[in-house]
Amino acid sequence: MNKLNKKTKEVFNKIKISDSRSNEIMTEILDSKKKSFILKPIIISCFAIMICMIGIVYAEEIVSTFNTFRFKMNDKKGALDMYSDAIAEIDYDANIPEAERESLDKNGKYNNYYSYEDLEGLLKIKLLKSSYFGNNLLHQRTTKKVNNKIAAASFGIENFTNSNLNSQTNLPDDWKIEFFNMSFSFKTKFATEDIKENYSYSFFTGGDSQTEEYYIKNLKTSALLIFTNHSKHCIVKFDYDNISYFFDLSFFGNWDSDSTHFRVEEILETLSY
Amino acid sequence: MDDLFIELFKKYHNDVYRLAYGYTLNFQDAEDIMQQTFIKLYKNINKLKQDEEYTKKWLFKVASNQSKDLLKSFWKKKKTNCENFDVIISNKQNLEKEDLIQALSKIDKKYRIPFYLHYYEGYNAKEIAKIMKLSESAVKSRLTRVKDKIKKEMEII
Repeated sequence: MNKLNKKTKEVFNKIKISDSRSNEIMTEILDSKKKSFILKPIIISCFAIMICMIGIVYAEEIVSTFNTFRFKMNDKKGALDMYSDAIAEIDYDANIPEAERESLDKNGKYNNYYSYEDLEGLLKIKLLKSSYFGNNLLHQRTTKKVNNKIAAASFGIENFTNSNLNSQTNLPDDWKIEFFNMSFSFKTKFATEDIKENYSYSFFTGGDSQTEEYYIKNLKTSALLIFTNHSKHCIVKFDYDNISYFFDLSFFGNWDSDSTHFRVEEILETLSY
Repeated sequence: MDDLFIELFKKYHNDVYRLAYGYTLNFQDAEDIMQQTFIKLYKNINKLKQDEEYTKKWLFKVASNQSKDLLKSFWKKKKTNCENFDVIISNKQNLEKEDLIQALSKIDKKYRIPFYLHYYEGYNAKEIAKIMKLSESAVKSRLTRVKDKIKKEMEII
């Protein structure tokens, strides 16, 4: 045993790397760490720049990915399925009575009409406004409560342009009237499964309808535009800050298809808080 | 950190090199394995216990795994098939002439490594079992067999 031990030690002691080669290897290992110290920040910087570039180039697509509003064209049914995942945070105890329809009060005035300021104050949320609605009031369409907490609600506002033309018998050749109707609806965390105030329904597109996706640059969000009646009627849907907006825009008079498209986009770009 | 690494490298690089040679019987492969093993040490030096004996066993484990991976690799299998064993060892002819090395080269690596760890490094069967991820009884039986095999081969030589 001792002989084998001694022999093994003798022989294996001869198996070794030369000092110069071992120093070379050691230096290579130490340098590799230094190189990685230099390379790591460069690689991380390149990666960050790449992510930023992708973010800029595909900003619209990325934003629409995070949009709570979804839609799907169902070719077989000729329908457009739309739904929203948005859950709004509001003052759930806001003093807004449940109302199924608007009705006249004893003084002959409509109930449940609010100014933007009043409603924002009551609900503690911000709502999109447009100069095209002037100082008109928002009227309550529906409110649903669960355990006395607001679970869902819907409000609308509308306006005519050139409404004075309605009463004229001799209209000018280039007469144009626009009718704007905007409503917004929301669902809160108290909503139960049977409450679908934040739309989840199908829209039958019909024969001459044209569906487009439009990116509202001012709001950095995507909206769905459905033009019907030879582009003289347009429905717009989108979500913004967990509130679902719905526009119904009608154009009467001398409008052509291109000008209504341009007009819809122009109106959408005026929306802001 | 660099000082500790340099100290460990100087102390153990030849031991790791010998173990790798025991596996591969090829000086170039042994050098590569030794280098890879110490690169791993350099990356993990802060995570290891400040215990030299533990570090040495850790180095042997890593080198053992690296050697097994190399031997299993497609490239290595091809190379071994294509090249003549005598050519591989020709650079260190003086060493290869040693009867012990010749005897070791004729027996399987599963016996060579326990032999090296026991007779050169002085590890017992339990410690070798941990390094090679084997049972203690398997190591004991290999050590008994390798002693007989070496003796037999050396008698022939």
